[in-house]
Amino acid sequence: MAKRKAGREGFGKLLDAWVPPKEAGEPIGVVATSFTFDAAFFEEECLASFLGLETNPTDDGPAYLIEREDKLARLQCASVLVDAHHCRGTRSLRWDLLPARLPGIQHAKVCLLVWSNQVRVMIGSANLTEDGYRRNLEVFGVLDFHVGSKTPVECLLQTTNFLRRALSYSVTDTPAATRWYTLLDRVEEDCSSWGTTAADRKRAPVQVETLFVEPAGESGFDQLKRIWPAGVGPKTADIVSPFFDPPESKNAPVDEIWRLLRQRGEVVVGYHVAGEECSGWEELGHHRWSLQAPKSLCRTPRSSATVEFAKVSLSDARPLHAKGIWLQDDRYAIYQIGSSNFTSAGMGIGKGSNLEANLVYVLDSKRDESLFKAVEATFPESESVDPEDVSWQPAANDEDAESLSPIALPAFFGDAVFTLDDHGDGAITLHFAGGKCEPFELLIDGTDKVWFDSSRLKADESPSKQTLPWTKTRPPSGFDVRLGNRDSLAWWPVNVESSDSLPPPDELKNLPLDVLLNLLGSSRPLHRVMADYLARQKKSVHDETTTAIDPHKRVDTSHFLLQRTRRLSWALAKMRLRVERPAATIETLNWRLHGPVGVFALAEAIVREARTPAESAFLLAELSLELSRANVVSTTGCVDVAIHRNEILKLNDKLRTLLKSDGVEGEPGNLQSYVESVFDEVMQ
Amino acid sequence: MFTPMLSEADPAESAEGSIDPLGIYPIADALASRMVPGVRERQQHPRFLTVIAASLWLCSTFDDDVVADDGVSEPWQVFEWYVVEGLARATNDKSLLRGLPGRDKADKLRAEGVPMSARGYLKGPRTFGFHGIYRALAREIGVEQAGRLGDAGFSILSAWEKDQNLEGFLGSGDGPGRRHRERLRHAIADGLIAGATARKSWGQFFVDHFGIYDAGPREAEAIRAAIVAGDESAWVDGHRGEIFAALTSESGQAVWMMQRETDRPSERCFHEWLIGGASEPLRELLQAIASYEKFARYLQNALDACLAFMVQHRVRLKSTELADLDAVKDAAANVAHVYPNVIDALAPLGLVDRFTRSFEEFAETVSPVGWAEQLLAFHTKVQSDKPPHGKAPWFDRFDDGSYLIRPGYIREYEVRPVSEYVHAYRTNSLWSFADDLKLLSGEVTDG
Repeated sequence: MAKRKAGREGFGKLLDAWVPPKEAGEPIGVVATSFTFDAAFFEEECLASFLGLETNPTDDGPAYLIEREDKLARLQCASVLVDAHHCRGTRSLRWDLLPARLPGIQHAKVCLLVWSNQVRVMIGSANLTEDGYRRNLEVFGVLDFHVGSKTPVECLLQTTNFLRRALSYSVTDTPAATRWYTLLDRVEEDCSSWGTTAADRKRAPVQVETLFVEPAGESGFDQLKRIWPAGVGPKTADIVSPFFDPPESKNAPVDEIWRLLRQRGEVVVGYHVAGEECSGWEELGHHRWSLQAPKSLCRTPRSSATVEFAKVSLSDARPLHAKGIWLQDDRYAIYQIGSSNFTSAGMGIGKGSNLEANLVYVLDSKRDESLFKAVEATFPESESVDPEDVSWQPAANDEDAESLSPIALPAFFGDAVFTLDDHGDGAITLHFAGGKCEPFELLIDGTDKVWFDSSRLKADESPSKQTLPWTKTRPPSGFDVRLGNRDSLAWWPVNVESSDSLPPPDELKNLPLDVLLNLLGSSRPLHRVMADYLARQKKSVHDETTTAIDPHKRVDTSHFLLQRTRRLSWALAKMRLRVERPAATIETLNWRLHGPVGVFALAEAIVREARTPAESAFLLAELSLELSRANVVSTTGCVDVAIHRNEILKLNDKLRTLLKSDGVEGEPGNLQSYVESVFDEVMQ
Repeated sequence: MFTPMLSEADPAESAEGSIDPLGIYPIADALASRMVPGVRERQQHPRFLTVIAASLWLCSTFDDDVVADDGVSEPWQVFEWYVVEGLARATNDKSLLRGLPGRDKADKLRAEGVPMSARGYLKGPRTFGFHGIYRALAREIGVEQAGRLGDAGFSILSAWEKDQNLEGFLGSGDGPGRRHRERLRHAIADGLIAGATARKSWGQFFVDHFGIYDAGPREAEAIRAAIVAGDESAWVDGHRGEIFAALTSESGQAVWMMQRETDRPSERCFHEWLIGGASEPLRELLQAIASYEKFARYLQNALDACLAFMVQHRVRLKSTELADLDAVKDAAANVAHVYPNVIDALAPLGLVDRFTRSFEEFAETVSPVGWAEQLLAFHTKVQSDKPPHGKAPWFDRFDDGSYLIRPGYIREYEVRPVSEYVHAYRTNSLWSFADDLKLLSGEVTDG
């Protein structure tokens, strides 16, 4: 057994990997997969780190909602594929939640983080939960891709391919799936030269490869055998895993690992598992050690094969959740880390294979011994245990398809999509697959109120699709599904048709012109300006009192013509700069043009608050003119200039529709002709 | 990051009260805020008020709308980076950095040779940086008024420049401080352009003039006066001055010192002493606190006992089993009797409506089984009401009525004596203030 290294080197915080690296650019999107899942944690910690949110829901209230909305709305895609048993949770509909159903389980933990100048692949053992990220001992690998990076680009492309295949275990013909695929397309198209190819790195001291386990795919052991760099097999194997096949099973992975090692001479397999030293074992005549492993691991194929055990040292009672296989000979080592437990389903042997994702680091001690040791240090520290003095107590495997307690939503339930029509009325379209399903009820989240049920579905003539109005203020993030008479509830996540389908937060609805001008004219982030505005609103009563005392505040000059004109001109100029700035995604551009603090919202506020139709027409013309002056320049990785300009043109056309039909009647004729000439000019 | 990594434990940073499984914190916070407005439990070192005063003065020349190149950091934030980086870099005795928010981040960035910026600094700097932690007090006592240097801030900064021989820092006069003021303003301007600290050549400047334990005599007196007097335009009239004076009196020190020698200093004991000489409004407030804390303790103890039992057994448990716990039986027998007393005590403070809306479930006496179910259902509701979309309860409830602790909440829970407050009422902070301002006699340890 080789692994004894301790120390803090090789440790890192999982959430830090979500923070954009320097020069990463604008966030574009994220897709991730997980087995267990905590929607609140993902949204408030992972996504917040990815987006660089500076507010939090507990301390900042509305400012958090505004910042989250502002930043999420600009993403091309934010989406998580979760095993159907754990795919649940209340959330913002600005990101998608998709259930994966397969004979085994969706157990891969992959995160693909995309910024305009960098892509990050993170593969490891940690689920997207608070325990996974904050408490457990997990292992993970991060690969960064950007112009000039030395990371093998094959890993990126293999990962995007895997993520495509992974989504095939969910509903694939939905808007959410399209968003998922579109982001992967973008990564494959734009980033395929961000990294090195095999030819570039023949002599690299550390190489890395992906190892995916899928139903009906090549087993993990076969892939390790293929990746092993030497002619003869490794001499030692060290395995760290929290879970194993059940004690009563034949434990096929044990045979497979022996087969992977060289077939002659001395070979050693070491298992590094969770356990404890039993207190008072000497006095009570107990075994000294209790290990969370089955005794079947002790099996060896021949006398020159030795099996050893070690208890992983876990500080602060951190649960062991890391999984890894380290194979070594006198020169080479390969280290597999990721989601695969040392189980048949985890390593893809036998029936009911899971979906798993791993990275394999290939090391050559002759090329760079210090790097070899640096990687070796990331194998969990452990303490040797005498197998003769062990009480074998394998942990219940809650990562086994057969032992899952939450109910998975049956495949009969397809997609649930929220849409918003032109009048702002919401509707939810439910898609049902053919075939039979037991009676069900859809309950509104957190209540016992039945919103839809199987009897209504049967009564309808087109049972595969139901579009129902949604009259509540906020769209639901999912429904509890009661199946038959079962006590537990499944969860049916709702996703949106498109990002335009979502109503803005109440705080951003129909903002007064004055506030919009302030927002557009300010360099500070939207949520901060809004927070100040909301705080001022809250204190308005108090302010009124102080205004009466302070003589300087008695006269409000903000509505004087000169002041208003100055603020408007300033805001229009700032708005133009904002509009012409390159947009990393079409969603960003749409948000700038059509969002609640965008150009169209400003135009609507002008129309709403103008004192006369003539004033409204004049200001709309000015707005349109300023918009037409936007100087959009081509920038790599951003929305194409032609598309960008076309969107501005379309908006200008839309602005014209806001002119009242009786427009400037009764007003000076030269104003009317000026307005018309402006709109004619900008449309050319 | 090319090599794999093991995950480091990463416990969540949280602002005060954000972990509150029974929703009992907001009323306690309201009571504490009435008693000592602006003071928070996280505040320990009043010299940050001087630093904030300097920050307000230095940043007053920048436009309200200015942000750094990173698009988010305002001038005061850039100044905070300089202070934290400067103190962390040049303080030889690291014990003098205790209580400096962001110190670890500064050390890490220094080791990497990277200047301080939003990327490397605290997550949530507006809440967890020293401006964030002390801003409420600075506003309350008039160090900051309407976003500018207030009267109290001016007094503190005037005293500081005299103590430090830095006349000219404040105002338009000449003097050695003027050069430093200009240098700092230029550094902030450069930092705004760079989106990070842009100058390193501070030497011992921050340690000599802004060390968090080193307030000079005039400055300490100005801070004390501001804390005691408060701001006339403040919304809430508190009892900061009265309590601070009592705590720093000879007998007050003796009472609190005695508590500090125990494992768990009891604010109830201190309040019981304080109430003897308190003004009538403070007396009312202290009675309300005592009454509310008794109620809160019953609830907290019962929940902790249930959770501890769930952790111990780690199997599905029925409410009948939980109802057998002493703390649950105690609470079931007493809470409904305490309830009207809390209402009486909160009535003069206008908090009754808030209390009854939050806790009306507990007004009636029910059996221990019913009470245990009610408590756990109450916890679930409190969690689901948390922003923005609610949080999951700490245990799962199954349709057969059984409960199972969720893995993330397997930890130690402790039932405390009923006489012990659940919440803190800022005595620790005030004591630490007094210690830093050298107002305590005899031997005391740092707060």
